[in-house]
Amino acid sequence: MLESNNNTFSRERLAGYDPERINHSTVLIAGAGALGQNTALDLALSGVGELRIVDRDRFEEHNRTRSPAFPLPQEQDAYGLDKAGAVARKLHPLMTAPNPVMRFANKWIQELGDGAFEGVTAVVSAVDSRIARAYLSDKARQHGLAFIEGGFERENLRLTSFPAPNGGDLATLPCWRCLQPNVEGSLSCSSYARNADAAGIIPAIQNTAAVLGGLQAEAAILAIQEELRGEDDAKSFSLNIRTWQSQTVLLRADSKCPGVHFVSRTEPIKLQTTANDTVEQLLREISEHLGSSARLWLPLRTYSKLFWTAPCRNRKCGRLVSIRSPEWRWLMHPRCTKCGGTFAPVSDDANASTYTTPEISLLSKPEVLAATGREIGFAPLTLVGAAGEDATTAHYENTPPPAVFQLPGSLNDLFESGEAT
Amino acid sequence: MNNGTMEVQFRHPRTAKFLVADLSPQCTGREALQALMAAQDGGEPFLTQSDGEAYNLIHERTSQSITPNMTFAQAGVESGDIITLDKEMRGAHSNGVTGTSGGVTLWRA
Repeated sequence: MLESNNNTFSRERLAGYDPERINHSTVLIAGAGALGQNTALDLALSGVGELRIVDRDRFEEHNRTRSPAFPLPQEQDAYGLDKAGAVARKLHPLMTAPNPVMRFANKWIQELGDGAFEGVTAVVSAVDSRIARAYLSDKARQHGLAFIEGGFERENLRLTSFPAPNGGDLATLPCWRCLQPNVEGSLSCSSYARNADAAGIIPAIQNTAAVLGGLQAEAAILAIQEELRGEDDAKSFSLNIRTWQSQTVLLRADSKCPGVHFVSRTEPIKLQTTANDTVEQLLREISEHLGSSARLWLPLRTYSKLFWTAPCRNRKCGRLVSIRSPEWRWLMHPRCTKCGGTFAPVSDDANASTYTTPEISLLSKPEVLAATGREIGFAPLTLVGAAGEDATTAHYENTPPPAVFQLPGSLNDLFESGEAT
Repeated sequence: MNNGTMEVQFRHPRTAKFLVADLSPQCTGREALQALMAAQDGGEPFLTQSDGEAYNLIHERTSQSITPNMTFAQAGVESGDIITLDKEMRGAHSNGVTGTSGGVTLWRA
């Protein structure tokens, strides 16, 4: 039987890889569909030390043709059919790092909060939701991480890579949202839904996913070994795998980009209040630290406003619907709990019965104060921006909050172990 | 260039078609896309946009992106330049989201 030894990475060393650094790196992969699996497979074989795979979806039979980690029938009882868990368990034995760590979460990436990004070198996006991609872009920038985004359709692929910011004027460094400032159209209304259904879902083939997965994995390696990259520019690369036509485009920042263009380098103050405690408890502890009545900035600019109540937009219904959720979560299910119908997202407060807010204080509704942190979108390890009552800085400005606090917890609160049993 | 405008060719993202347009250098990427949605080509819209679908503009001569709020002048576009319309692509991954109404599946994404 062959055993791993110093020769394991001999070919990679000759190709310029630094296995020791790669073995000690962590890559977060959002999306475990065709693209996410191919990328994760390549990173597992390349010796990345820790992979975190996040996806809320389940395998279906049609996924088999472009899923290198599709569980075999005899594996399905043990691994399950949740994509993140099954992919993690299938790929863990293929990881070539000496002490590989595989974590997974069968959740939406937003549910994990900031903890998912702790200790990460590169963030890989392999999701189709534009809201999730906007979130990943914002979080990667906020945490100062490289962001690698990929998409494909039929035989066409596009890789977009945003290196980790290394100083300079962050406002002029492009982010994914500089290209896609408006993402509300995705997953937010029934008209998109009908179009997507009528279009028969996105045409996808394994060969395109495999090529793009390789490109994404190499971009992640370049984020780990920056000296291999050559330059710091954000770029996109498009390729048609049938005609071999390709194009590389230098990306530029948009002056009115709604995305995050700062890196939060403030050391967070560790809180005692947990995600399962009430919002009021959280506010009181932060107020003690600040010496002033605290105003909480909801954790990110990307659809994190709290949506509490809104009237159903269905004219036959029109009843007040309890939402009690951050905006992003509600946008995933913009559905009336009374009539079951979908309705357009509320983007204004024109209706007096609508209650949405970008900040929370002790003056917020009593029922908001009685909610748990989890209900309003705070996971363990989440960073909470806060300001005292006299702060003049407005919300959603492109600056870090004056004070940052972190909820207690560990990665084990967010992820399950992907070690195959 | 006439009256301060410049002639620019837009390349369709899926076909080999070009649309020639006279544009003000102060036209932004977003305004150009809106104009292309409204433009007619043989009785058909030159560019259609399903909800949730997005395009990027690429300046061929410099291989640089033109962002929504960037003017063509800021992007360095000159008369005679070609601008490619690039359709956004996604991870072809289902995020497990299903929309239903009255028990009927409306959509999956």
